[in-house]
Amino acid sequence: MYIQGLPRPHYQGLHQTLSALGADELRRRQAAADMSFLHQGITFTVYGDQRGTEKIFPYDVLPRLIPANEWDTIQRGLAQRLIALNLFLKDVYHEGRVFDEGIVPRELIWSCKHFRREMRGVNVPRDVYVTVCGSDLIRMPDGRFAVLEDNLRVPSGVSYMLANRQVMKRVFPAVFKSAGIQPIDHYAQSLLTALRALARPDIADPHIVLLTPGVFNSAYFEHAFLARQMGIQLVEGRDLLVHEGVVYCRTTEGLRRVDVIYRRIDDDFVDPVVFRRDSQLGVPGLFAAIRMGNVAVANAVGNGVADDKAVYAYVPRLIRFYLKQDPILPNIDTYLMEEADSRAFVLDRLHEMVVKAVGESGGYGMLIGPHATTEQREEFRKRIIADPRNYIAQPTISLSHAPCFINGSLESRHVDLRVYVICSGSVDKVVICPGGLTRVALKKGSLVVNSSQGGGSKDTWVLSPGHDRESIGGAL
Amino acid sequence: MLSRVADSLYWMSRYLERAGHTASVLSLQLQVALDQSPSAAMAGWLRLLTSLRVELPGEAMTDTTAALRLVGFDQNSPASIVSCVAAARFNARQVREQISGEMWEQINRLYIWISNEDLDTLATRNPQELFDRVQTTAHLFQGLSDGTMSRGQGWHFMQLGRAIERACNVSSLLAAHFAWLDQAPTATPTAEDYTEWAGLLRGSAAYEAYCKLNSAELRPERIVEFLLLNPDFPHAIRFNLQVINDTLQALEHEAAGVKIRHRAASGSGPQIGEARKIVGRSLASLSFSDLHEIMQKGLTSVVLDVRKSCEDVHFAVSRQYISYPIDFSVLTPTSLTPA
Repeated sequence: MYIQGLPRPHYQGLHQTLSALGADELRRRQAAADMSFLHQGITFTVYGDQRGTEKIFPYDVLPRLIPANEWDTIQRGLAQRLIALNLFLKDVYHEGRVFDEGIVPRELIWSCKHFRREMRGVNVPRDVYVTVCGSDLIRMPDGRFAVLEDNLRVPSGVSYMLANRQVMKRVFPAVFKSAGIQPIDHYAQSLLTALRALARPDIADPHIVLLTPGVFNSAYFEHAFLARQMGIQLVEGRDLLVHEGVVYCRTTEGLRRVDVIYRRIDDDFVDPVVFRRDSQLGVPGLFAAIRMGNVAVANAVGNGVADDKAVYAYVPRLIRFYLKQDPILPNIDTYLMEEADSRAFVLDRLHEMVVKAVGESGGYGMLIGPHATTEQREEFRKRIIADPRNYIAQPTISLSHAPCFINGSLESRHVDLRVYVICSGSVDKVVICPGGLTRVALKKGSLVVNSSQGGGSKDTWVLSPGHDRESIGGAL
Repeated sequence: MLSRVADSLYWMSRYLERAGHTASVLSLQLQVALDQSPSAAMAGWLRLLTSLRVELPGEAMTDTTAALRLVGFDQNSPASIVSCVAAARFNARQVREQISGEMWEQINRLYIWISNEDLDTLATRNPQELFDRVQTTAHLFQGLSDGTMSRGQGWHFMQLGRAIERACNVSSLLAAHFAWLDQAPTATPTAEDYTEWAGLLRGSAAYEAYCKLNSAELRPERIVEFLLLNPDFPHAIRFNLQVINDTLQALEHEAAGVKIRHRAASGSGPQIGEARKIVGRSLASLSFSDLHEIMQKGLTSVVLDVRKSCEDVHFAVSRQYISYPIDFSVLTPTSLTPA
């Protein structure tokens, strides 16, 4: 938010208004927001807690602002990226041009934990592997946004983006009138349209369901929320059955055919016949139905090869290869531990690097060099040497800061931004909701923003063109 | 509606009714015992456990707090009030997108309150607070369902759960309190008997309604007549059998509007389903009997029949709507080839 102690231009209006409002009033509004979340039961489940406690996702009342010109870059950059990633996934599971032409080493993909050889040669409706992508962006020291990672399997958190906005409107109603904040309420509609487009064209009114692992999943609230917003059924694996390659759900009126599944369970659990035998969450025979083209499943199985943290390093090259364009959004410098030179370089500088296990997400399996103890660094050194393919390293990037209202005063905390990108029925048709989930590392100095590890969130306002400067103010 | 969702709505409603009923009879037992001799009070506790269909504790019960924990405050005892609330809330969470936000909030609030209480302390110091909260929530939940829920299938399954649970509970109460009528119908009542019977009526929220009809003269056969045969009182068995019958009929009408192709043989049209036949027979036998005939047949056997009917209805509904067998031979997918 600040440049050398002064607010960035697009924050000036908000800054002035907040100063006028005073800490007491702000505290009252924060309390109002908290109550609103509590009463609606907008919660997530904390794993490893004996009682399966559900907690409120901590929420900060101060919005984050993104001016229209910056958003334009983000939007074009993410669309370009998703188009390339969808083309890449089709290539990986079909022709393999990307290997033949030496862009990406074959071994890198085939050794990937999330590579699904069962998907080779399987046609995916409209060639859309990724229907929903959640991309994490950070602001670099030079002010530009860069992509930290893509989530192409089952990205979560979008319900908090929508709920944050609803609560914000209730708490700061007046400001929305004049500020030129782009609305995001149509997200569920866009997602539904994209899902509908995956159904076979001869089906006039496709039956679409959302497949959840059930109430014990940490994101169950989100699943129920999205199902309600889209007006589709929320089903569990035990509600579905497959007969001769066709998926049905069991209703009080008999069996009903299912055409499209928005699944929120991981690849491993989709079908116990093909993947994990012990899975109770999936549907036996579902993968056969997918192969036969009788049901569309979004996101497709096997997308994990494209958001593997080692493959991430190749994304700019993929964009050049498939689209013959320069990447609009940069990557973070990434060192593959498999490459001997990079490994030697990183092992010498573990205290200044971030090391990540390639197949993990949610902030697990990660070493933040500058904050780690000597023992932790030695532990990672051993692990890297034992299994180099499984690790990458990046320079420690100081996430940008945003002001947060913490214990009654303004304090600065690290933030990132997750943007939800939808591919709507054909690879080149990308829809991006103008907003996102700004995640906040609420612990002072912490760089970990994941909700499972003490992160919180704030509303993210994308400003309309012409509203970039001193526009937010007056009656906040 | 998904079969699983219907099942959860049914059980949510049943468990909440059970929690409310248990809270009500426990609350009364604690008060009644104050007016009784220790031996009569102990007999009262044993009767209460029988009426709740709870296994008696293995060793002879020397103090009543064990019973209070077993059916009230012990999270490890499936029959306890706190377990029933947790089960109701678990089922409600499964169907959050089906019930109104207000309904969810009531049940969630009670659950959160219980989770934050030290249950052992509460059981010894102020058990009444739990009973009051549970009963209030059960009533609020009922009122909110009336006021905020569409009268679709989901609503019907909730009605069904509550009516079945109530009919079972009241049957067990009558069996536990009046089995002796079958042996010695002329025994002279004592003052303690009156205390017990007033407690029984209050435990079913029936005392005032009974008095309006019969004055405050408490006579066993009148009480039986009221709780078994009254067609208008919402806790009476006949009333609840009528609700079950009407609800099943409504469900059949809705199902008749939908073409049932995939389901195996049982009832392929707007015929009377198995469940409604069972409850219809049971209802008719109560509707067209008077007290004299009931006593001749024996009260115990009549209420056991009611309970058996309720159980049979439960399984018949499950076979018809929830876990029905599937006739795969009629499943003919339009096409098996990719488009």
